[in-house]
Amino acid sequence: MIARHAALVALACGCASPGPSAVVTLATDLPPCRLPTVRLRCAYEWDGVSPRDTASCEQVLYRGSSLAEVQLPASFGLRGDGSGRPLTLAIDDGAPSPILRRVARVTLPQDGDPARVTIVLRAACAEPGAATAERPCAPGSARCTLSQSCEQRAMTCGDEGACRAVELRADELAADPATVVEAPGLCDAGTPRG
Amino acid sequence: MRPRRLHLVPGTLALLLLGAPALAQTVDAQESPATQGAPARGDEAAAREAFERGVGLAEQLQWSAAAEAFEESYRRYPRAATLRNLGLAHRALGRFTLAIDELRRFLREARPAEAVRQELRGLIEEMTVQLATLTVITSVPDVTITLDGAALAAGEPTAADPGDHVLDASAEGYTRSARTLHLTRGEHRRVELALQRSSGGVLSRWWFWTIVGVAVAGAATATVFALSETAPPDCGSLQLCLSP
Repeated sequence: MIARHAALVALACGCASPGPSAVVTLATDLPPCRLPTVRLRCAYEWDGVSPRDTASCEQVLYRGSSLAEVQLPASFGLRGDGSGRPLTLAIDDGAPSPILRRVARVTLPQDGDPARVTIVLRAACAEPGAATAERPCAPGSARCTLSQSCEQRAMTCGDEGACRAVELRADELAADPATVVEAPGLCDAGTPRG
Repeated sequence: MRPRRLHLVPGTLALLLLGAPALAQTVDAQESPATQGAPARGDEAAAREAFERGVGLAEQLQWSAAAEAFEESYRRYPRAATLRNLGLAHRALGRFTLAIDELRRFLREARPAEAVRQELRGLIEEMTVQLATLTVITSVPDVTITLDGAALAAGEPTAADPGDHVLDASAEGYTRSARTLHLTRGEHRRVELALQRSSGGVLSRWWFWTIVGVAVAGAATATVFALSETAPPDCGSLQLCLSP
């Protein structure tokens, strides 16, 4: 309680630090017609997949070239509460049952420069495939995307288009934004939109 | 169902959509304000300045500040064209109920070209399917319910933006109830409110909670001010900072 009061006093007098944070660069090799919407969500004590009822953040980005839309790659900030708990960030296509989702769990640095994280949503993660022993799908599903299959194994589909752990390694908190991929701007003429 | 994309030609239609050229044209043409009671010319000039500031902020994807600038512009000189930009800014912020209302008012009052109508109708349709529906059920008589400060009728389905909300309920003789609520896209949520009878004392008095509310709001404002004065966080190229 005393610590909480001290923090409030520190904030009120203007001598507080901005708290732990990260800058996340988001990129994809999927064109906007295949991934028109990107949903960002974050929460503590969350697996990134289950429905949430606790306080959390959510923002939907619409990809495109108008001023109301965003072009990838782009970056955004992530700020923690200073508790040192791992923060879960989930980035998906915004669908009720996402076919593409990346979950990243990160412990934000308590001091110093913000962490720099790069997340790439790969087309390979959204590719559907038949369920096999090595590539399981949800019970009762004969096919699923690689992203969904990764989640069946408590993993997530990573920057390289392969299953990986959701926890980010320390060396991934100082990513070089120059390595992100450019999203192709056009879709095939025959690709259905909307 | 995936949201529809807005197809625009970069740099031309995009600017038209945001309305910077439209402002100069309509103001020069002495467009009447959308509401009765003509504002003074000084207000019109200030409205134009706020509008142009909003366009600049929108170009930098600073949607929250852009929306404030457009709101100021509309407050000073309520032109229908401003509603379009306001609606787009609120859409970018995920405030779909506001955005839908503003874009509908724009379509009704400004009567734009068919191509613009189609684009905006598509956006409205896209946002509408994302709205959640909240129905609050309670057996407490004469209860006052608010969602994020706006009045809400008990028993009636109400459209709400997906995301976090504060649901507040109060009634004479009952302990006030406030809870957070997370609504997902397209969700139909039914919430049953059971207020407890109060046992008297200061905690049951409306003025006590008003004072508490003002104090908390003041502390929050001071916090935001202090943080922004000391070290602005790095919110990336999108100028978007997420915080759980």
